[in-house]
Amino acid sequence: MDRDLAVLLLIIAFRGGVPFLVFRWQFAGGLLCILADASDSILQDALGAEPLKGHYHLVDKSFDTYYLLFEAIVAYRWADPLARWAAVGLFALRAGGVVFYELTEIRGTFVVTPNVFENFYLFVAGLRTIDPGYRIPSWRWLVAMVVFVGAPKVLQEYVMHYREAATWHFVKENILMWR
Amino acid sequence: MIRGYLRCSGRERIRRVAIVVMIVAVAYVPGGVALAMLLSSAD
Repeated sequence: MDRDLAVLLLIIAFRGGVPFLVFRWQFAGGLLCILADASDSILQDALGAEPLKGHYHLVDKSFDTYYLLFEAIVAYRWADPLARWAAVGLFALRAGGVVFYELTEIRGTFVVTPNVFENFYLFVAGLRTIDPGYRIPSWRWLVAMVVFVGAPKVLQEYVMHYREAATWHFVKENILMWR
Repeated sequence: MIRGYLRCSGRERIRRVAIVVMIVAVAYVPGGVALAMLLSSAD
Protein backbone atom coordinates (compact mmCIF):
# COMPACT_ATOMS: atom_id res chain seq x y z
CA MET A 1 0.00 0.00 0.00
CA ASP A 2 1.13 3.52 -0.74
CA ARG A 3 2.75 5.04 2.39
CA ASP A 4 0.72 8.26 2.20
CA LEU A 5 -2.51 6.28 1.99
CA ALA A 6 -1.50 4.05 4.93
CA VAL A 7 -0.72 7.11 7.11
CA LEU A 8 -3.97 8.78 6.02
CA LEU A 9 -5.96 5.68 7.03
CA LEU A 10 -4.17 5.56 10.39
CA ILE A 11 -4.95 9.24 11.03
CA ILE A 12 -8.61 8.74 10.11
CA ALA A 13 -8.81 5.63 12.30
CA PHE A 14 -7.28 7.37 15.34
CA ARG A 15 -9.01 10.69 15.04
CA GLY A 16 -12.32 9.25 13.93
CA GLY A 17 -12.46 6.38 16.41
CA VAL A 18 -10.93 7.63 19.67
CA PRO A 19 -13.67 10.25 20.43
CA PHE A 20 -16.21 7.44 20.93
CA LEU A 21 -14.28 6.53 24.09
CA VAL A 22 -15.53 9.69 25.86
CA PHE A 23 -18.97 8.09 26.05
CA ARG A 24 -17.48 5.31 28.18
CA TRP A 25 -14.71 7.20 30.03
CA GLN A 26 -15.44 10.93 29.99
CA PHE A 27 -12.09 11.98 31.50
CA ALA A 28 -9.67 9.30 30.19
CA GLY A 29 -11.41 9.41 26.80
CA GLY A 30 -10.88 13.18 26.70
CA LEU A 31 -7.17 12.71 27.41
CA LEU A 32 -6.94 10.09 24.66
CA CYS A 33 -8.57 12.57 22.26
CA ILE A 34 -5.66 14.96 22.95
CA LEU A 35 -3.17 12.17 22.16
CA ALA A 36 -5.08 11.33 18.98
CA ASP A 37 -4.99 15.05 18.09
CA ALA A 38 -1.19 15.03 18.38
CA SER A 39 -0.92 11.73 16.52
CA ASP A 40 -1.39 13.16 13.03
CA SER A 41 1.73 15.35 13.14
CA ILE A 42 3.71 12.62 14.91
CA LEU A 43 2.64 9.89 12.47
CA GLN A 44 3.47 12.05 9.47
CA ASP A 45 6.90 12.90 10.89
CA ALA A 46 7.71 9.39 12.12
CA LEU A 47 6.64 7.62 8.93
CA GLY A 48 7.91 10.27 6.54
CA ALA A 49 4.60 10.78 4.77
CA GLU A 50 2.47 13.86 4.18
CA PRO A 51 -0.98 12.77 3.08
CA LEU A 52 -2.53 15.98 4.42
CA LYS A 53 -0.09 18.30 2.72
CA GLY A 54 -1.74 21.61 1.92
CA HIS A 55 -4.95 20.62 3.72
CA TYR A 56 -3.54 19.93 7.18
CA HIS A 57 -5.11 22.87 9.01
CA LEU A 58 -8.58 22.29 7.59
CA VAL A 59 -8.49 18.54 8.35
CA ASP A 60 -7.02 19.14 11.82
CA LYS A 61 -9.63 21.77 12.72
CA SER A 62 -12.43 19.53 11.39
CA PHE A 63 -11.30 16.56 13.49
CA ASP A 64 -10.79 18.88 16.51
CA THR A 65 -14.37 20.15 16.26
CA TYR A 66 -15.54 16.55 15.73
CA TYR A 67 -14.05 15.28 18.99
CA LEU A 68 -15.04 18.40 20.92
CA LEU A 69 -18.62 17.73 19.79
CA PHE A 70 -18.47 14.29 21.46
CA GLU A 71 -17.28 15.95 24.67
CA ALA A 72 -20.03 18.61 24.39
CA ILE A 73 -22.64 15.82 24.10
CA VAL A 74 -21.27 14.24 27.29
CA ALA A 75 -21.26 17.64 29.04
CA TYR A 76 -24.85 18.27 27.92
CA ARG A 77 -25.86 15.21 29.99
CA TRP A 78 -24.25 16.51 33.21
CA ALA A 79 -26.81 17.01 35.97
CA ASP A 80 -25.17 20.22 37.25
CA PRO A 81 -26.75 23.10 35.26
CA LEU A 82 -23.79 25.46 35.87
CA ALA A 83 -21.28 22.96 34.50
CA ARG A 84 -23.59 21.88 31.67
CA TRP A 85 -24.46 25.32 30.33
CA ALA A 86 -20.96 26.73 30.80
CA ALA A 87 -19.57 23.78 28.81
CA VAL A 88 -22.18 24.10 26.07
CA GLY A 89 -21.56 27.87 25.86
CA LEU A 90 -17.78 27.44 25.65
CA PHE A 91 -18.20 24.76 22.97
CA ALA A 92 -20.52 27.05 20.98
CA LEU A 93 -17.97 29.87 21.25
CA ARG A 94 -15.22 27.63 19.88
CA ALA A 95 -17.30 26.02 17.13
CA GLY A 96 -18.49 29.48 16.06
CA GLY A 97 -14.87 30.64 15.98
CA VAL A 98 -13.85 27.74 13.75
CA VAL A 99 -16.66 28.48 11.29
CA PHE A 100 -15.90 32.22 11.35
CA TYR A 101 -12.21 31.54 10.71
CA GLU A 102 -12.94 29.21 7.80
CA LEU A 103 -15.14 31.90 6.25
CA THR A 104 -12.87 34.90 6.86
CA GLU A 105 -9.35 33.50 7.54
CA ILE A 106 -8.84 36.26 10.13
CA ARG A 107 -5.95 34.93 12.23
CA GLY A 108 -6.98 36.65 15.45
CA THR A 109 -10.27 34.71 15.53
CA PHE A 110 -8.92 31.95 17.77
CA VAL A 111 -7.49 34.41 20.28
CA VAL A 112 -11.02 35.72 20.97
CA THR A 113 -12.68 32.30 20.60
CA PRO A 114 -10.10 30.11 22.38
CA ASN A 115 -10.68 26.43 23.03
CA VAL A 116 -11.34 26.95 26.74
CA PHE A 117 -14.10 24.36 26.41
CA GLU A 118 -11.69 21.43 26.27
CA ASN A 119 -9.80 22.42 29.43
CA PHE A 120 -13.07 23.19 31.23
CA TYR A 121 -14.57 19.87 30.13
CA LEU A 122 -11.52 17.94 31.36
CA PHE A 123 -11.54 19.87 34.66
CA VAL A 124 -15.17 18.98 35.38
CA ALA A 125 -14.93 15.45 33.90
CA GLY A 126 -11.85 14.80 36.06
CA LEU A 127 -13.60 15.98 39.23
CA ARG A 128 -16.66 13.91 38.27
CA THR A 129 -14.40 10.87 37.89
CA ILE A 130 -13.27 11.40 41.49
CA ASP A 131 -16.77 12.29 42.73
CA PRO A 132 -19.64 11.38 40.34
CA GLY A 133 -21.95 13.77 42.19
CA TYR A 134 -19.63 16.78 41.77
CA ARG A 135 -21.37 20.12 41.22
CA ILE A 136 -19.82 23.56 40.77
CA PRO A 137 -20.64 25.29 44.09
CA SER A 138 -21.47 28.78 42.76
CA TRP A 139 -21.13 31.28 39.91
CA ARG A 140 -18.01 32.62 41.59
CA TRP A 141 -16.44 29.15 41.44
CA LEU A 142 -17.47 28.83 37.82
CA VAL A 143 -15.77 32.11 36.90
CA ALA A 144 -12.62 31.11 38.84
CA MET A 145 -12.53 27.73 37.06
CA VAL A 146 -12.95 29.27 33.60
CA VAL A 147 -10.17 31.79 34.31
CA PHE A 148 -7.90 29.05 35.74
CA VAL A 149 -8.23 26.77 32.72
CA GLY A 150 -8.71 29.55 30.17
CA ALA A 151 -5.70 31.80 30.81
CA PRO A 152 -3.03 29.35 29.55
CA LYS A 153 -5.27 28.42 26.60
CA VAL A 154 -5.51 32.06 25.45
CA LEU A 155 -1.70 32.29 25.52
CA GLN A 156 -1.45 29.02 23.58
CA GLU A 157 -3.97 30.21 20.96
CA TYR A 158 -2.08 33.49 20.58
CA VAL A 159 1.22 31.69 19.92
CA MET A 160 -0.20 28.91 17.74
CA HIS A 161 -2.79 30.74 15.70
CA TYR A 162 -1.98 34.44 15.79
CA ARG A 163 1.80 34.13 15.56
CA GLU A 164 1.41 30.86 13.62
CA ALA A 165 4.24 29.19 15.53
CA ALA A 166 4.96 25.52 14.81
CA THR A 167 4.46 24.21 18.34
CA TRP A 168 5.04 20.54 17.47
CA HIS A 169 8.38 21.36 15.83
CA PHE A 170 9.44 23.41 18.86
CA VAL A 171 8.57 20.54 21.22
CA LYS A 172 10.24 18.01 18.93
CA GLU A 173 13.50 19.92 18.54
CA ASN A 174 13.86 21.71 21.90
CA ILE A 175 12.16 19.43 24.41
CA LEU A 176 12.21 15.91 22.94
CA MET A 177 15.54 16.58 21.17
CA TRP A 178 14.18 14.60 18.20
CA ARG A 179 15.99 15.91 15.13
CA MET B 1 -11.96 21.36 48.04
CA ILE B 2 -8.85 19.49 46.82
CA ARG B 3 -8.01 18.50 50.41
CA GLY B 4 -11.48 17.01 50.75
CA TYR B 5 -11.02 14.94 47.61
CA LEU B 6 -7.72 13.56 48.87
CA ARG B 7 -9.19 12.43 52.19
CA CYS B 8 -9.15 8.73 51.33
CA SER B 9 -6.81 5.77 51.54
CA GLY B 10 -3.75 4.45 49.64
CA ARG B 11 -4.44 3.47 46.05
CA GLU B 12 -7.57 5.62 45.71
CA ARG B 13 -5.61 8.66 46.87
CA ILE B 14 -2.92 7.98 44.24
CA ARG B 15 -5.64 7.72 41.56
CA ARG B 16 -7.19 11.01 42.66
CA VAL B 17 -3.83 12.80 42.81
CA ALA B 18 -3.07 11.50 39.30
CA ILE B 19 -6.38 12.90 38.02
CA VAL B 20 -5.74 16.32 39.61
CA VAL B 21 -2.19 16.36 38.17
CA MET B 22 -3.57 15.50 34.71
CA ILE B 23 -6.21 18.27 34.94
CA VAL B 24 -3.52 20.85 35.74
CA ALA B 25 -1.03 19.44 33.22
CA VAL B 26 -3.53 19.46 30.35
CA ALA B 27 -4.16 23.15 30.93
CA TYR B 28 -0.69 24.34 31.85
CA VAL B 29 1.85 22.22 29.91
CA PRO B 30 0.77 23.52 26.47
CA GLY B 31 0.52 27.03 27.93
CA GLY B 32 4.02 26.63 29.37
CA VAL B 33 5.36 25.50 26.00
CA ALA B 34 3.71 28.51 24.36
CA LEU B 35 5.28 30.81 26.96
CA ALA B 36 8.69 29.17 26.38
CA MET B 37 8.31 29.76 22.63
CA LEU B 38 7.45 33.42 23.20
CA LEU B 39 10.34 33.98 25.62
CA SER B 40 12.88 32.18 23.43
CA SER B 41 11.58 33.93 20.30
CA ALA B 42 11.35 30.45 18.76
CA ASP B 43 8.06 31.37 17.12
